[in-house]
Order: sequence, then structure tokens, then C-alpha cells
Amino acid sequence: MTNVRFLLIFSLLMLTMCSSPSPNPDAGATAESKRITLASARAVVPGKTTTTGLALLLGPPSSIRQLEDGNRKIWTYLRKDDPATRRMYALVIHDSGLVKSVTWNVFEGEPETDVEYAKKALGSPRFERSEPKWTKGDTAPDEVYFFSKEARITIVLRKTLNQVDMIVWN
Amino acid sequence: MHFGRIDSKTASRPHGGFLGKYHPTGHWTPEEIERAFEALSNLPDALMLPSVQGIYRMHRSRDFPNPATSAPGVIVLYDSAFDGKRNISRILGHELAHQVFRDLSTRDFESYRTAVNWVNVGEDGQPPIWIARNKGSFVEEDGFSVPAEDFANNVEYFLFDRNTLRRVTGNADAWIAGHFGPKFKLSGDDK
Repeated sequence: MTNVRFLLIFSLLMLTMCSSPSPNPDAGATAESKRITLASARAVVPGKTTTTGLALLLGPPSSIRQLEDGNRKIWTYLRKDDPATRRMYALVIHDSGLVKSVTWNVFEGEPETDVEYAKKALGSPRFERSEPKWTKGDTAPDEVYFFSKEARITIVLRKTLNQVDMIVWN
Repeated sequence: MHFGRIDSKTASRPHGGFLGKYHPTGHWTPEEIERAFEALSNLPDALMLPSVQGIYRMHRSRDFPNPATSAPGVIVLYDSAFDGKRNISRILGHELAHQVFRDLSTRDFESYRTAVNWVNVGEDGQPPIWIARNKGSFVEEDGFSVPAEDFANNVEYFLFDRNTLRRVTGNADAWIAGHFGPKFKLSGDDK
């Protein structure tokens, strides 16, 4: 019963954040003052979360970069403890104002570097393993994808280090 | 690191097998080994990685006239690498940079991608694809395809044509200088 109540409250909260802006105790926080976790980033739902919702959930980005086609932007959140790297970034469609894809970077020392841990942390949907084909270029690809079609999540593993590099959902 | 040819032992590895399947095997001549040793001696120590187990010799790339190929722990030089005009130091520097990229910590891997604006994004429920910065900021056209190629090109230009790298991809020049430090230069290059 407690779980059902929690889910209801959580769903209502998400619905509010994804559709229309509302007062939020963290709304004034900057990216630097707010710690972004994988769990908080997972609240960003591509196709539903707007840029307003994104800013409410995670604070304003460290930077916004427009891509060459003019209609896509990258909202970047740098790591608080290492601003030379990105904690995460989101691909945003300018016309709709909707997030299209979220990329979460994984670093040494984080449990998600282990692919089995990462799968569990993402709710253990069914993942299919694949490797990009070496079709061109003078070097072999070093990535392995664990892709869940149902959850629209990809875990990207670096083969050489056997470590998860990033988690992307769209 | 040793000089070898793709044999049954090498071919039993995944990428060795790939190379053996698509590229006809070749033999080192004593002169070629000497040239390769000399070429390696010009390169900075930071590129002499223990993870590169061997440099192999094959006849012709699937992407002829491509002079060399790299896979984890393996570098292959083709006949075209030994054409008179080719700079073998430069070819090996590029291929060794591929291995450096594979060996980077996840932190350094990401800091490079951040510095030169690579993003990996999902598209319509498919595995992610790389989106690069604008095409004009690549020293070689093939760098536009994936960060690994971009990195190897930039390391190569840092060592062999730094003015071009500074002009075209200044962020990459700064990252490489910061990552490798002041000793990262060709032997005898005191610039």
C-alpha cells in the first residue's frame, strides 16, 4: 500500500514537472550548487520533459550549444568536482522545446562502471548486446552496446577497459 | 612490442581474425624492420604503450591506399606504408594514438570529448550516434566520423604539423599539450 501511495505521488510529481512549470524548492539552484545523480537525471523523460521541466529538475545548464542544423541544442551539465568533464547532457529540439535524448557519463569509482550493476540500476529491462560493425576507418570500434528497445536505453561499454562509459536514453 | 605477421595465434584474437580475413598477410624485410625501428625511435615515450603487443605486416588494406590499421594491441602496416614518400613515424604515431585513446581513463576519455565538443545522443529508439562539432574544425575529413579517429588525427598533427592543429582545432592542441606534458614531441624536436 505504501508503495502504491509512493508511486501515485511520484507520478503526480513527474506529470507536473513534465508538463507545466510549478514552484519548486530547487528552482533557483544553479547547476554548480545542485548535485545531479543518475536517479535525478532519469526523471528527465525524452519526448515529454520540456526545457522548462529540465531546468526545474536539474537547475540551469552550465552551457547551451546550438548544433549546426539550427534546430537542435545541447544542454550541458558539467561535473561539480571536475568541470573539465560533463556529468550529463541533453539533446533538445528547439521548435518543440522538448528533450529528445539524455546522455549520462559514467566515471571511475562509480558503481555503474560495472555493466551488470548499471543494468540493475536502470530497472533491469531486457538488454540486447551488439557491437558496431567495423565498416570503415583504420581502427576497430571499441564500443559494445547493451540496448533495450522497450526502455529506449543504451548502455555503452568500452571493450578495452571493460567499463561502462555512458548511459543514453531517448 | 614485436614485429610479426598475422599468424594463427594472432588470428585467434577477434580483431586479428578480422585482419587475417580481409587483408592478405605479408612478410617483413630486414630493411622494413630497420625503417620501422627508426620511425618508432623518433616518437615520444608516451606512445610506447605496453598494451601494443605487436606490429604486423600485411600486403594491402581493404581501404587501399590506407597505409596502416589498428585494433586493440595490434598495429598493421601495409605495403603502401613503405612507399618512398610515406613518413613511417607519422603513420605509426597515428596508429599508436588509437591505442592511447583506447587506454584512456574514462575521466580523460570524457574530458577530451568535452574539450572538442563531441556528443553521443540517442535517435528514435536506436543505439546512440556521435554528433561532431562543425566540419571546418577537423584537420582531416575522416575525423568527423568518430572521436577515436579525430583523436588519432589530432595527436598526429600535434607531433608533425602543430601549426595546422592550432589553427583548425585549438582546443585539441591545448588538451593534448595538457595531457601529455612538455616532453610530448618528436626526438630532436626542440621547438
